Amino acid sequence: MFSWDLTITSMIIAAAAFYVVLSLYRTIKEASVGGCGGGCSACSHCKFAPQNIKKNPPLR
Amino acid sequence: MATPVQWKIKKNPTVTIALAGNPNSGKTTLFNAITGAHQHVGNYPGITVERKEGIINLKDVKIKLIDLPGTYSLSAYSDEELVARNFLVNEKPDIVVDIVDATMLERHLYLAIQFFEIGIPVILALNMMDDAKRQGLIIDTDKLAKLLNCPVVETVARSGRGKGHLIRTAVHHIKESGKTWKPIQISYGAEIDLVLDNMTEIIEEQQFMTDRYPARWIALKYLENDSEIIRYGKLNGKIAEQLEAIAQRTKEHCLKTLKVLPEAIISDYRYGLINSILKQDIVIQEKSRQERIDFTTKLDSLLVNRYIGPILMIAILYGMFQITFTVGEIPMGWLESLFGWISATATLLIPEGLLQSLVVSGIIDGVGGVMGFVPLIAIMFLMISFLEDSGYMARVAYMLDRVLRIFGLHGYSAMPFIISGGIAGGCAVPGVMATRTLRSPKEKLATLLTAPFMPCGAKLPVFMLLVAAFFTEYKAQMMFSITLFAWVMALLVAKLVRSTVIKGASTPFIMELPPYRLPTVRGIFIHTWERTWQYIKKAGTVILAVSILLWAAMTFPGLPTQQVNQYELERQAVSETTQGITEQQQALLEINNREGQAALRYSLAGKIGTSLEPLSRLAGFDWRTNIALVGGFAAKEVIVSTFGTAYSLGDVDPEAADTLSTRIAADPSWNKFTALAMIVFVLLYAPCVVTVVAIAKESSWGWATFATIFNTTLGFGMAVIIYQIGTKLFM
Repeated sequence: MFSWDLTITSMIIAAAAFYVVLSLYRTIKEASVGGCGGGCSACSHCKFAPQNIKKNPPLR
Repeated sequence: MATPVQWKIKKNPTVTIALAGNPNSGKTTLFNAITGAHQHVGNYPGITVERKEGIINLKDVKIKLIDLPGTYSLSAYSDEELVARNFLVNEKPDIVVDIVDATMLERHLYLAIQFFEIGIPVILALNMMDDAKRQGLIIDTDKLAKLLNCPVVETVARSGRGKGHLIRTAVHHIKESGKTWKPIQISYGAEIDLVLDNMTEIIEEQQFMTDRYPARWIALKYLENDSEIIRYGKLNGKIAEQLEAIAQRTKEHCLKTLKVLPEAIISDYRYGLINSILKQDIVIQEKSRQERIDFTTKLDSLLVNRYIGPILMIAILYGMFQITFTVGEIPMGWLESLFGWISATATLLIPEGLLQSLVVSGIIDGVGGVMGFVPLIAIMFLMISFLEDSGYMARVAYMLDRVLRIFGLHGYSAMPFIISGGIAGGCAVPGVMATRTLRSPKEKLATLLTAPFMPCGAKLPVFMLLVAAFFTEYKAQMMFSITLFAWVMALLVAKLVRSTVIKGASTPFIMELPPYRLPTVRGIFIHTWERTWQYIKKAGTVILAVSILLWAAMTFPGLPTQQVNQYELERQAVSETTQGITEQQQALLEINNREGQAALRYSLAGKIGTSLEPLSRLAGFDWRTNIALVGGFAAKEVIVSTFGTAYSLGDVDPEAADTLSTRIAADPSWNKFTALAMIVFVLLYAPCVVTVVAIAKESSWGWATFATIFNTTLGFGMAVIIYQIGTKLFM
């Protein structure tokens, strides 16, 4: 039997699962090339913050 | 003056300006002021290890600004120096803006002299002129420019004063110099000069690496025993051997006659040149000697004092926690009320069912648990930003060197520890990456394996939650003790690994202590906001998504129909038999609560938590704690959000305690020792996924696996000891 309650809840869960997998993939990928992927709350004192890494690759 | 060298430069409408300078010369601050980039400025020596670029437009000129690593010289002594030098040689910027601390001209001009020697067009930015004026220094900028034969511009990077003039002068000088490199020749005394002339002649004749460097500069580098040039020379021609032989003979001669190495003589002559310039009334001290006793020196005699320094450091740390809890309690109460109101409103608006449970228990109670700590985190970050920007953190690293050395670590290990959360609230990922500053691979490995023990920003809410629940009277003392415990464990484990699996000698530590600066209110607020915003953003994105998934794992598959019917029958029986409305409501509530608990236990997450219980019970952890700790492998903030959801799903009594900490405190399966065991376990167990990847990147997957298994085993062992001893002896 169709249920709006179950349908909306399932969609939210699916979206969350997709987002978690995507974030994890992105984070690990960035961490493996030297960036941290924004996985923490300390970007302001981080010289490896993704915004710096992406735009400004290391010299060597 | 040597022959001007015209490099072949591609026609490019963009002008490239490289910002260079000693560490702590205000280079990064000036870069930010010019480009408007939001990049943190601290007082850690060598903060700019990576390359940073910014584009600005000046009328019709497009300017590419490169922030080079902070260096003391252009020798190949450190990675930073090599990076800066290679950039100049390989990418040939149109001009170098050398940022010089006006209060320390003698030391800072050493780098400038080397730019003159390599010949690249240079302009000097005489930075921190406000500090110089405060110290009573009067600098004759025009005369300095005349003697150095290069433009000199006064700047104050912190306020951005002089930045426009600096860029305009740089662009003008590029046009004037015609992108021509004009190396200057410094005399290094009759004997060295003779050798240099001889070598230069050979180099020029054979055109040995002259497409990259000026000939005399190459000769100088051979005499300075520059490893990079010698290595590069070997690949480029047979005369390398001849040059090495001349350098060797010169070295032997200098050692025999003067008992010094040629590089020391070269350095002495460079300083001699600087002194001869400065002595021509370039710098005049305005005040008397007594008044000249620098504020930094006075403050350091106290703050870095062998005995008083560490006491003050501990007092500052303790004071920080005390202020955090005292001030933070008020806004925390407001946030708790806000989330309570949102939860009640959502319950009213959304019809009863799965969606209501997801929104209230999964999202609001889960994410709300993490968001509730925003005021405490913001206050703590505010104070940490003040300490960083003032220059005190560098003193902390300096003082810790003495201690770190005992445990087989290095003075540079202090910075990764602090970044990881050594003063609470950092992150192990940049902490692990900051171990790159350690040159000894063994010291680096010991540091990166132990840095994740520090109380990072993600662990803080877990500690704050448990401290608020079980140690209400001693909140600041407990947070302070947790931080100290993290350091003790990191040092002990470092000693253990340095005495067993990664044995090796210690390397010496040299560190520059930057002068104290009064941080700007704007700077502190920007840094605090950036960190707090990152925390909020993470709670509202990844943690929110993980909370939804954990809610699903804690809700499905749901109780079998048979059991649901059983509870329904119980409810019917109560409705039919129990007298009095209050008693009936009480009995129904008790049934609902039991049903909620049973459903949670029957869920996917509940089953995982329960399956771990036989082992985790040794440390006092029940199945709900197990779910939270497994979630914490992904990110430590998840622990708090999982507790929020788990206690929300299991607890259906509207009259029950309203905040998460009081709910946990009211749970009979918790006591002070469970909380202590939990704190220690969270502090020590496996780093989060991203940190594990960072460890693997900086060392190997083998060491990353070691960190995961070893840390979890250590954390669990410590938790079991604390719980078992605590409950057996004190309860």
